[in-house]
Amino acid sequence: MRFLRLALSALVLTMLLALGFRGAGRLPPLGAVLDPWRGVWAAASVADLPRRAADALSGLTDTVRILYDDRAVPHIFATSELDAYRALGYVVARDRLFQLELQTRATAGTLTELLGRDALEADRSQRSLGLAWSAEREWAATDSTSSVARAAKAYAEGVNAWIDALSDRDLPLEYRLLGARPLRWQPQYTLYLMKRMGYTLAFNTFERQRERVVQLVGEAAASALFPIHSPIQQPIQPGPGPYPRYDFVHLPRPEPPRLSRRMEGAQGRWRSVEVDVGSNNWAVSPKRSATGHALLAGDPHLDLTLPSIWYEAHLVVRAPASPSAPVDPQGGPAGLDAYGVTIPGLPGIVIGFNRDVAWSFTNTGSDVLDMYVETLDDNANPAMYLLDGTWRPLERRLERYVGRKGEVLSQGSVYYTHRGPVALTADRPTSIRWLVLEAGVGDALLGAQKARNVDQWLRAMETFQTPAQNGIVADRQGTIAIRSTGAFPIRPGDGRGDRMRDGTARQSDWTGFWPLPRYPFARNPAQGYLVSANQEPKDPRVDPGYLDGNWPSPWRAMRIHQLLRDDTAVTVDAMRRYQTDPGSARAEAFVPLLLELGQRALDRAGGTGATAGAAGAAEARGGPAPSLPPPPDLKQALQLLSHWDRRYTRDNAGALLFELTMTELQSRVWDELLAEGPNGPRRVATPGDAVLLQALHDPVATWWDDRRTTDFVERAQDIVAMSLAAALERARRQYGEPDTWRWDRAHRANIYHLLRIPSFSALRLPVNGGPSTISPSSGDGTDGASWRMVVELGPEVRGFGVYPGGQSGNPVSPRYQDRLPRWLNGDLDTLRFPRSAADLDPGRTTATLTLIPAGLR
Amino acid sequence: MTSLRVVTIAAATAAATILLGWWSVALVGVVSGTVLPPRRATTLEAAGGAALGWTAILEVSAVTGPIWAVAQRVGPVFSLPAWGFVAVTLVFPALLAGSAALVAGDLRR
Repeated sequence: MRFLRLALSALVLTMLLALGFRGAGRLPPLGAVLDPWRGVWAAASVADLPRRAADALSGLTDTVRILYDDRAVPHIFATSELDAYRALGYVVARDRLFQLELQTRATAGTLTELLGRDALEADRSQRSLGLAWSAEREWAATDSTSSVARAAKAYAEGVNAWIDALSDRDLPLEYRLLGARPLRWQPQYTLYLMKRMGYTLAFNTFERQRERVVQLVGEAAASALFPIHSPIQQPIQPGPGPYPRYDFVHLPRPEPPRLSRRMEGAQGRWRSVEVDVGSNNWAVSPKRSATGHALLAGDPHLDLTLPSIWYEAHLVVRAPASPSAPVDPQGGPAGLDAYGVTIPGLPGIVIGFNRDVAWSFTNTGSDVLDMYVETLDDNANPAMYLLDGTWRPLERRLERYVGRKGEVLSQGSVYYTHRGPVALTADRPTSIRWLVLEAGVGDALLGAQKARNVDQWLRAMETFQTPAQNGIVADRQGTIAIRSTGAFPIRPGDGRGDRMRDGTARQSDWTGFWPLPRYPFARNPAQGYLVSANQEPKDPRVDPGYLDGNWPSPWRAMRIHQLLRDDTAVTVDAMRRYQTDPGSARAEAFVPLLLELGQRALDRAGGTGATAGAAGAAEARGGPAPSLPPPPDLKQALQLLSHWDRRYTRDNAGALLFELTMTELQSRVWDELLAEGPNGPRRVATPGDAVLLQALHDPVATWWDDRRTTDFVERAQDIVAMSLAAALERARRQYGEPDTWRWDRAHRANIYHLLRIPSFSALRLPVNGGPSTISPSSGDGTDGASWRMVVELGPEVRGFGVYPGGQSGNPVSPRYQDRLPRWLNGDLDTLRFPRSAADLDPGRTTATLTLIPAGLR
Repeated sequence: MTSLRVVTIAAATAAATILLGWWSVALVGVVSGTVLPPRRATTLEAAGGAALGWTAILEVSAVTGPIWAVAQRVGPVFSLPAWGFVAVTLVFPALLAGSAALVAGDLRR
């Protein structure tokens, strides 16, 4: 009996120790997790910053004082720019260490080392693009004395100083759960981050989708459905106007499909053509602002995550006293006093303001990735590719994927032509040339944050290459300007980049880049304001050159223009309200047409009593075809839609019906673009809403015929009537009777933690806004305004801002998501902008940190 | 007497955990099973003392940080409610120390 008890208790003890040290299955080592001193519980002890702290930092030239205000924003007071970046690296690591590592590994394709085999496919996909390879190559080629190299090194010193000083109790919660230790930070990881931004903002392989569309409906129809110039013009650079201008054309009849409607296997990464999310920025000149000062607003829209992609900071480097003090290479003064948001991993302020200038960005969305069909000597294990009739060697990189314990999980090769990486497929290997792999951000942002006026800012940004940005800027002198800045490739032939190119000829390669004077640009326009919202930046009547073949419809820009046109005395508060305005130019454009066509279907119903045979016969004779009998719910759907105020407020009922109608409409109109996939028919691409609007203005276009119904030729009114009725039926089924509908029952924001752990996330958040409102919210609700900022450039610059989340990356910190309620309400915080440490109200100083040069302590 | 033993074990557990790490709870259990009289109560005292020791550390942490927030955030990661995660945290050292004390006691006999 005693031996049995001994055996059993020994077994229990062994199992507990095994669970404690090694975990089991997906369970992490439980001992390290549950340990009340060093385990996950210790996260509570670092939830708040200590009121006072000090640390020694090697490389510092002088003491740096950091004061955290009541919004947990660090105000960094340094005596040299490099010291400021060291301190920034330190404070960012202190708040966001896990985020720093995760985003670096995501770019490098080494997530398996942290997360295990589950991340293998993500790593493979990332390495096949060569982002880390290009970052390493770029870093090796960077002059070590350049400002960007010195800033990245200083930043790395700061991050590593925090890592080196890290006690077990300071370790971020995620590391404890994963049983991992932080990676030391290398200066080139700053370049990784920029490559990652390039991937997020400038990775566009639309060529594949377009090619499939051509196979289904022919070249002419494909060009009309996916035009290289937006059918609705509301350009960033004001042109001959008036705007918005509707450049609608008759959609050509689709040709019969050239290939089977079966979808091919590997089609690569597809994305919706119409981008429902996007960023905004606008600036108002003094003549249209209530106070007579220039105003600037910016709200970049990105993936919403916890912690946020942004980190708020204020960098102050005491400027030289003399106005004739040395200037930096960009032409700005040597001092620095910039406030705004930085991305963890990046030295400097990305979007923000200083004492004289405010700036913000939206993504230009220019096409900087082309695909080339290659001829290889062996499609499975190639060594050579054909170019101008001769075989040339491929560059091969062996990629090894390592697991959490250092074991090799997998290995494979990525091949490169002189253009870039090759995607191997059995029948048609393709390579890509992608500007993100060739060019970086350089030191443009470092210089821009120091500009004293619009001209200096524009000059600093001239070297910015990718991802191209619509940079808007305003200064205290009242100047406003905007420029789409980035390298824009010039292609041979028709200059278009939306089609696959022949990889066997060097003449397919880019021939150069647009010169700076050709960039979309405007300064102090007569209208008194400037707006960008990812729309086509330049009117093709001004410059028909190809920038992209995939412009989102300019609904947001149209709405912002409308609001600013109607407001001749714009205030900071108005700018704030506009950022979350629930009105929709898209709804204003579609609803009248839907009502008209729906009513026509209803009116004709009493008259003709159409039959399918009659319709076909009438069509065959070339005469007008009668309509289908109206669906029973049409009248009520029309009534509900006609009463809609066309706003996407949380409690709105009409928005719900309208969005369902649009979904039904798209699925009925674009049936020609359906192809059989493994899970049934799927649209290979969906034309943008501007093209759909164009089709609605052409109600007898062939596209209205639903080819799935063989006994009737539908027209616009039939399809609209069916869509409205189907939407009503679906809304009833999903949300009950109309008086119980609310927009926020259909759509909510979802802000996931970086590891998508639900209890670390903020999910199902009711928000104002829908597809194409100024603060767009659509799809799964994981994108949105990642930072909202309004700046008034008066004698004292005043800034206001908010982002969804909080400064701390610690999920149990009160600063983890403390800003969320204000973001949800569309409120902005007043941003504290002290000139000196003494200038910050002690009552609002929540913590101080002193960094002293190592060796002086 | 039992209470004193439990408190002593709790203090030893807390000190050992802070100084050495979670695994030292087993060590405290082994020592308890070795030095205390070989009886059933010793196992329970070791288990109770270990749980109490970790409770004390959590209490101290709660003074400076939001312990309950940790339970609320991390519990669901293990498919547990907040209170369940607290319970697991306390049961783990109890089982560890108790089984270690039992093994040590049986080996001593």
